[in-house]
Amino acid sequence: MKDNNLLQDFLDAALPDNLQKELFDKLAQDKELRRELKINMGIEKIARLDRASYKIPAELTQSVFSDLGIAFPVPNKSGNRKGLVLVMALLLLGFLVAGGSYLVYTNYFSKPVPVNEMAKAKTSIERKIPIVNSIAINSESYEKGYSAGKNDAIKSITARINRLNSNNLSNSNGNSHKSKFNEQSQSNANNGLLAYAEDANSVSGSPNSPETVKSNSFERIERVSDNISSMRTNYSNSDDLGLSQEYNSSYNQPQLNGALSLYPINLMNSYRETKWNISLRKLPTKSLNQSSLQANNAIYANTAFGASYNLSRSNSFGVEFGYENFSQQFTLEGGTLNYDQNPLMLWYGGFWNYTPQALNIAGFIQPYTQVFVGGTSVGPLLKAQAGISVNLIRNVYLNIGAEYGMLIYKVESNYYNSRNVGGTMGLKFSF
Amino acid sequence: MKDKLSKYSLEKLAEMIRNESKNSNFAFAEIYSRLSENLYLFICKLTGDSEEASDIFQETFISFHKYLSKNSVNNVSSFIFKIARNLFLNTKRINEKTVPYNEEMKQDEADEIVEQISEYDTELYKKILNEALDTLDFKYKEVFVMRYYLDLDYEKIAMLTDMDVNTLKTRVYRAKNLIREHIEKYYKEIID
Repeated sequence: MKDNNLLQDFLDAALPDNLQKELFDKLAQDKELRRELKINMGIEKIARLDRASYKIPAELTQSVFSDLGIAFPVPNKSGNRKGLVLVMALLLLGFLVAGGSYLVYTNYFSKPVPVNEMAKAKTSIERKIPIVNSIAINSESYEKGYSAGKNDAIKSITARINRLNSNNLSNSNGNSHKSKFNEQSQSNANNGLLAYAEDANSVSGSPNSPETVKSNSFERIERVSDNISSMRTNYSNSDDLGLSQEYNSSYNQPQLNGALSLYPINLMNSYRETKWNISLRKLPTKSLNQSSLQANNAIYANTAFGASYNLSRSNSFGVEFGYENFSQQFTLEGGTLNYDQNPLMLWYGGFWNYTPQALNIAGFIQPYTQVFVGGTSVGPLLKAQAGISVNLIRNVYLNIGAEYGMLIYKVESNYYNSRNVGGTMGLKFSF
Repeated sequence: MKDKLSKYSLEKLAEMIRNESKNSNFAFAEIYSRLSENLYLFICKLTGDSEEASDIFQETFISFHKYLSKNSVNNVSSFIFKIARNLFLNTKRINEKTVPYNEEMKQDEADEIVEQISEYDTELYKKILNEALDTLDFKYKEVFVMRYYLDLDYEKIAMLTDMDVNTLKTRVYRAKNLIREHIEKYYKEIID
């Protein structure tokens, strides 16, 4: 076989082993043959590299299809997308089931952990209470045994104590979340209430110690309340109770009452070709439950974080977490005990967002609606939201809307609800 | 739908277009997606001009679609490449170069490139190769492009060009030699 043929077959990877050895022997001796091999390999290499330089212009493809009157082919990822949506749905379902089971278990099956002395005393009655973060008021007993003025005084002071607790507690839900943060908060709550009890006892001259308070139940509550009443009588100014000016001033501050707050949520579907959204929003703070307790107004309170996936240009679904105050009023012991609390509760759930593309205004303002179904440690939570999403820059959106939320919970076979309504505002990032 | 069509052969897809089935447009899109890249490269290398290549490319698919509406095709890829090849030859006949090859001008240009080139300057090597390719006759250029640009094996090229494999191998070898001669003539420095 000629040298050139050997070389050609070798470059085509079609040279048998025996001839390959023959070629290598010749290459070792023939400088010109080595040069020819080098050039041939170079030509082939450059040809392959050059290949990548040729890409069909998009307009050429479009032109071919438009000339034929055929729809322009777009990459069809429906199969992959369906799989992704299925995986997302399964993950969401798993998340909801696992999270819900945990919350239900911690609230209804685990041993309640009292967060303050009076609540600890009440555990002897083995009562299921959705959230325990403040003092109980046996208003009917007071009405029977004490004058109206005294009763008002007790209520007033108790409300202040609750306010104090509420300020001290980020989340004093003794039934569930046992994070370090909450443990610390609970500790603060206990200290605050004990300090109050000691203070009350010392004012009235009663020998009651915190330990005694722990060991008794409602009688003790009444006695402490009586002390409070005495204290109220002896000291006309609430500052004399030992509460700092800071607490007093914060107590006198009005609630936000649903005003638009500074943070947002937006989980609407983007009209840009994006798949995922994350959002942060501030939640409504106006409660329709007329609680006498002021809500916790820490920066993280009434805030929600969400993530969603765009199913189409108009539909998206996702999950959202929030930390929100829910004012709760319910009765115990067949209606003889009235409970009033305003705990900060963690909630989570899934939502569906609909953005009617036909209602787009000026290309950058998009109305949207959103419904949410989720849960807390005490019961299910439903929310509905409507508003507009304004495209600020690129993939950043400002969502402004109104929201109505309802928490449903059960106490001693009676169902109650806690409703929040108001403005919500937040940012959404799409990518 | 497009994903489902990916399992069909080109001939089956062509049949769908011919029968005007409800998926005929998807079938055409599928054929386009499978063949367009190589066809565009092939035409670009033959013409050496992207504008002319675009015209031939567009005309190839339009002719193919029209033909399918009335006829059946046994070997779709071969048929499309032949359409492109014939369109190119027709265009070539019409636009036969009238400017004579200026040997002196060519040498000056080559010297300039050699001065610029560095060991890793792939773009200039590509330019040299394309320049050499442009000097080849169609019969050599065609097989060289199919073999080294489209990476087709000899059997496939033989089918597309209606040649026997041995003749084809000789032609590919000859094409490479012509390119090498061109490079050696003008760019001896970079080879040595």
